[in-house]
Amino acid sequence: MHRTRLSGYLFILPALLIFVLFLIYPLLHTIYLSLTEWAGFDLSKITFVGFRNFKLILPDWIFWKALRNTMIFVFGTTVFLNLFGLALALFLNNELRITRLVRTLIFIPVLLSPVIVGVMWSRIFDPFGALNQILDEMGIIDTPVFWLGDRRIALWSIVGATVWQWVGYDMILYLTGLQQIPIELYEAAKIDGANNWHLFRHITLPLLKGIATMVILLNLIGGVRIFDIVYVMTRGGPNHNTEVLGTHLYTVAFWFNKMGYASVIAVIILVISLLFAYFRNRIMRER
Amino acid sequence: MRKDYIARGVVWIFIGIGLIITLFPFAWVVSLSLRIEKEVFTAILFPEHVRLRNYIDAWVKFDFTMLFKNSIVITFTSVAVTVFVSALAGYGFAKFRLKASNFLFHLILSGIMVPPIAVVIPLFVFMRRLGLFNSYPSIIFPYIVFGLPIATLIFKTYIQNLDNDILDAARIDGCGEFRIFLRILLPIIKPALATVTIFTFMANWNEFLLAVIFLQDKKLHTLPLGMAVFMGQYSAPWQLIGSGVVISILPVLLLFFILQNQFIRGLTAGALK
Repeated sequence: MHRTRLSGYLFILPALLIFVLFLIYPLLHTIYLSLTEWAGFDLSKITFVGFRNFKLILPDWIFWKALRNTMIFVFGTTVFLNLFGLALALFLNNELRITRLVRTLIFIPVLLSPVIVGVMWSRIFDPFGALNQILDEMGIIDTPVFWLGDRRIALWSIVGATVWQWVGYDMILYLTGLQQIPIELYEAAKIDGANNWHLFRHITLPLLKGIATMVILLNLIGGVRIFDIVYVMTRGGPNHNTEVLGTHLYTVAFWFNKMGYASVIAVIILVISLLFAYFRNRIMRER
Repeated sequence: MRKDYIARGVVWIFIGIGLIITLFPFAWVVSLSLRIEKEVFTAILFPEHVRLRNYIDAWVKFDFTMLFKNSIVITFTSVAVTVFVSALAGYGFAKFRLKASNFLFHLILSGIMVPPIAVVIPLFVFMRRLGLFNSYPSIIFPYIVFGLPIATLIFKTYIQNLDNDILDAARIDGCGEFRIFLRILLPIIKPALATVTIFTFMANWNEFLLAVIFLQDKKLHTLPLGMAVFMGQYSAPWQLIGSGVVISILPVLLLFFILQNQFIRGLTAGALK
């Protein structure tokens, strides 16, 4: 018995070592670095400054803009992803060959790197790009729309490209949920004279609540991590109107070399992520 | 009955529009990739002239030979290590009664909650101290660590549901624990191996944030990084961007059409646990 216990730990050891070395230690180090000041190049010149970096947050208007934009992005994408994802799942919930093909096609963008999605859509959204061409051809616009250059539109264009990429993912998750609902429930209700709307309202919706909560939280948590697509499409512009926490941290840390202050932003991103994760865990435990 | 037809019509219009929106960007990029310079801004989908040479030009300009090589080395190494290490751990958590098992498992699982950007700065410092900055390992180790939590969870769940009989029989035959893992366990957890491989493969193949920070040397650039850098140049010709996009997504699309179901299962496996 003793021998097997030792080998049990040996099986876990490699994973644990990598985990402690490259995640736990850096995580604690982030918190420490947020209390220091250094230029990012000379590692020997890291000086402890206490909470001074945290005071820099208040006057940093770009940070507040980035926080606001991140939240708009997070909730914007979550709303549209769930609406369209659920609708597609409901409409494509059968095993006809054509339906299966449509589902596969809608899933394709999920496979792409957000960088590629950003590259494709920044060309489509370009003033001379495909979208303006089409709208012009259809007579809807007569001057080009600056999809990524107009400060009121840019963030929503990025939301659009993101929804385009991930709607197939939410659709599959909702389909998993739909397929867990026993067919007998619908059959019994139909015998009792329920119409389609009744079936949806009183069987489908209530039984999807669990899965919907999971999908929504998953989208919220994923949204906070947004970085790639903004980096590629706008670099946070115009005038920081698409700046998000990730891109702001990146600029502060790796362009301006203010590593201490950037670590403060890292801690804030971490806290927001943990809050969402905390809600997720609590809800899952209740179920 | 007539109401039924109308409803069905509305549903198919919705699906049709969804399908057009999903597929149009692909069609447009393919069309872009074949255009001559003069037609880049004039045609919408069907240019008058077709120039296949764009693909050769794009291949050379992006240096796709190098980008593919780097992406393959980095992704394959990190996926192999992630799969192996997390399968070991999953087995350890699932089939051994260890006092600290529960605590350690939840510790590793909690890694799911940490966004990579929250630790890039200390990782950057750490890699420079180790002298690994701007090298393959500087990106491979972070990829492993961010793949571990979900991979371990998937393996543990899968192995837990296996019968103990085969493992016990092998133990009685005098097999060492590691031999049991290699010879008996690995072959019977193939579905979980496939899931974890696809999941981590896609995550690492497409990853950008860590790559842009740790791989500042151009010779180490991966596919997403190469695309982003090329896009960043104002003079980048559109038709070559188009060919570049097509070249870089084609391999994954081919894999997807061969292994559709495994892909969809693999990519959504971690989401609902």
